[in-house]
Amino acid sequence: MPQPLFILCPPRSYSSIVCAMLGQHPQCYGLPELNLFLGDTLGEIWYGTVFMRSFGKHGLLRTLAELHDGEQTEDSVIRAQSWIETRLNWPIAKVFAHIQECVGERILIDKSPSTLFRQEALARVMLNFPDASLLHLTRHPRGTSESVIALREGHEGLKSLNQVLNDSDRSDPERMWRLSHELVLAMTTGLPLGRYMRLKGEWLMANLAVYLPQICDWLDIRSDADAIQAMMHPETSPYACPGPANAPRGNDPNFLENPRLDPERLARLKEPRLEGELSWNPGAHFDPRTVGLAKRLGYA
Amino acid sequence: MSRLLDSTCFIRAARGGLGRPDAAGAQAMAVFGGALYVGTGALAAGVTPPPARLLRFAGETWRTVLESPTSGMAEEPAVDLRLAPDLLEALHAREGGATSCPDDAGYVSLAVFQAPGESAPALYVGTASPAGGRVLRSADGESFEPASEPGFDLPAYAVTALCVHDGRLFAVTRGALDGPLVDLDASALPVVHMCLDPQAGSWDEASLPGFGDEDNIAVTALASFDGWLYAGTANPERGFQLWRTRAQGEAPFDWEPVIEDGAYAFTANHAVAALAVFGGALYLGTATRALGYEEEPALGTDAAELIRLDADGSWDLIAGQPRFTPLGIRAPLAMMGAGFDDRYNAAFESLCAHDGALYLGTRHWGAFAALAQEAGPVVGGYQLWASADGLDWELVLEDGAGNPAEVALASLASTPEGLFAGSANVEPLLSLAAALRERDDSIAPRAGFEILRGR
Repeated sequence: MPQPLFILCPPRSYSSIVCAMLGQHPQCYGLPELNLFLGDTLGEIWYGTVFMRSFGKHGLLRTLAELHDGEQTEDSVIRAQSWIETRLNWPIAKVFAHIQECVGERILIDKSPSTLFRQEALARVMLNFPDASLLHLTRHPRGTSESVIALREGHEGLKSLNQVLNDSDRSDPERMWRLSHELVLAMTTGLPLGRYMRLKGEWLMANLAVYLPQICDWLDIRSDADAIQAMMHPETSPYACPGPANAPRGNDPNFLENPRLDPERLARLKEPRLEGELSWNPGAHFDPRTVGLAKRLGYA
Repeated sequence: MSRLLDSTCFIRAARGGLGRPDAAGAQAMAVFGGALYVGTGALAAGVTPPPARLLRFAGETWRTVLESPTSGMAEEPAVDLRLAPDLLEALHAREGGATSCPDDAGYVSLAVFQAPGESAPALYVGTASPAGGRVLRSADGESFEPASEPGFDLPAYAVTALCVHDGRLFAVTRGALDGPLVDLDASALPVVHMCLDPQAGSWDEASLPGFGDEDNIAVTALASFDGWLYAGTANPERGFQLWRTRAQGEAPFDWEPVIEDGAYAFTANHAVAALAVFGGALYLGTATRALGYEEEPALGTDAAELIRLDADGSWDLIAGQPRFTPLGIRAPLAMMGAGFDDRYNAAFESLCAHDGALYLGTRHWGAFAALAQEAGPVVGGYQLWASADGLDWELVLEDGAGNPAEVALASLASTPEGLFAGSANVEPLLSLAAALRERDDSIAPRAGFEILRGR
């Protein structure tokens, strides 16, 4: 079986649409947010956090419903829930292997932002998948933070995200951005060449024709016109729409509402600047540590 | 097929700073009149440095041909802003009674240049001085005259690179002076200077400051390659840039960017540390912001990269972190990551073609990192690497050739008598770091620069 690809980034870093795009490659399979690495066993993640007792579990339910029954309905989701509850002692690697078996010889792509909630979550990725490919996706801290704030204000369920995460450090979007990226840099140091690659999300989204073939080359999969064209339609993913009433989420709400690429709009993407007041924290500016890290990641 | 030198080929041609253990660096080398010249320098640590010396090696003996006077021109020694305050304090506590500061703390760049109308080449020396670095000229390698004003009339600490291109001499400075403090990351004016008349000491500015980019805080390296003059910068905001010009028409010349954004590694590739022509290509070694004598740089694990540039301006990554770029994917052709897979190689500081091979000297801070551990061996120090084709690299020397205080190979020179490699020694800093960690008994570093000869 092929090694999976894990997209590592904090929330609001283009990961939903990137995962869906790459997942439409004929040799790949893009997953919704499984959030599997919050524990060692299925039982630990299923009952271990408030996050997974709410919308955090929708991605896994939708995946199992789709793969087991070929559809995502309230009934198939109920069956997926039953399947999970009878396998709570399964290690997460076994769950992932089951999904891989269902998908076959395609590269599984996971983009769960919860992988960066805690160091131990990312450590589980590294431990269970020592040969997986890691794509570190970045976005300007201002763009990320403003998007987080807008999403929290626009979606009632996300206002309680601070409690869900049980981590006051990450309630501040700037700190969440910095801690997430510092974690990725620290944990990927010393990996064998080629296992870890980093990409500015803004560059990718504004230049799909430039970067999608590079990602294919890196993953050693086809980069012909048909494959690239398939990737240009993330909306064809079975997870690129709201799920049934008992598992409606599993991905970024804005992506679920509008999963299509708009190349013209993307080509006009402009990176914000590091200097200047923070719109979500009047009178404040970015912490120097954020600025230093952002410059290291290619932001000005 | 060229024969690569290995560790058994090297002997020490000089040690202990050649009689001055406080002479920290063999900073520059050049062959002039059939002899090897070596410029020495000291750490800018705020303690009185030894006088800079220019040494001549011929007939297996060393002779000092130039030693800095102590005229009072430099009133007090320079202090490197980047040095940790606790180390500085400890260094000052160790200093003996006050002595006069020599005019020049270092002779840090050398070039051989024959100006139009002159009958023979002359030797040019770039100096480092709290009163402003300048260029000296010697027709015979024995007597020297100023060939520029101190600091080019600016508070510029050192003339750190000299380069001959298309029958003209170019220079850059590094180190912005503010009283005794010197910011060695920056230049007082980040331009390329062009010599108009060496005997009259007249110079012009061959570029705009920072090539028009205020984030280029210094021009750090120069090279002449395939009819172009190349200049590399330090840029703490977006990573180094590499520029080039045909140097035609009126100065300042038209320059064009060749590499930007630290070759898309951004600020991890802070500066261009070294440039060298080899095998029809220009090789570029980068530097991170790690000095080589801290226990842990602020952002952790960046290491130096090696890049190969072709005459058409295209480039390949030879050693470094694979990455996506606007130009296509770049994976290291040598199949080695940053620092040649050694995170402590903070800079690829010197490059030199010799006898059909390319040699590379590193700056390596592993000994300082080791001191941060409570136990374990304290090893580290420069490495010397070699390649016959620029792609496959072999480690020749490591761990400062047995002395962890030899933190970098600051200079390399190809001579008929072999390859010479000059070190940068930070024994005072390493010993003090060990004392501060109560690990004095873990190391016995030797002080003063060393010069190796391989043949």
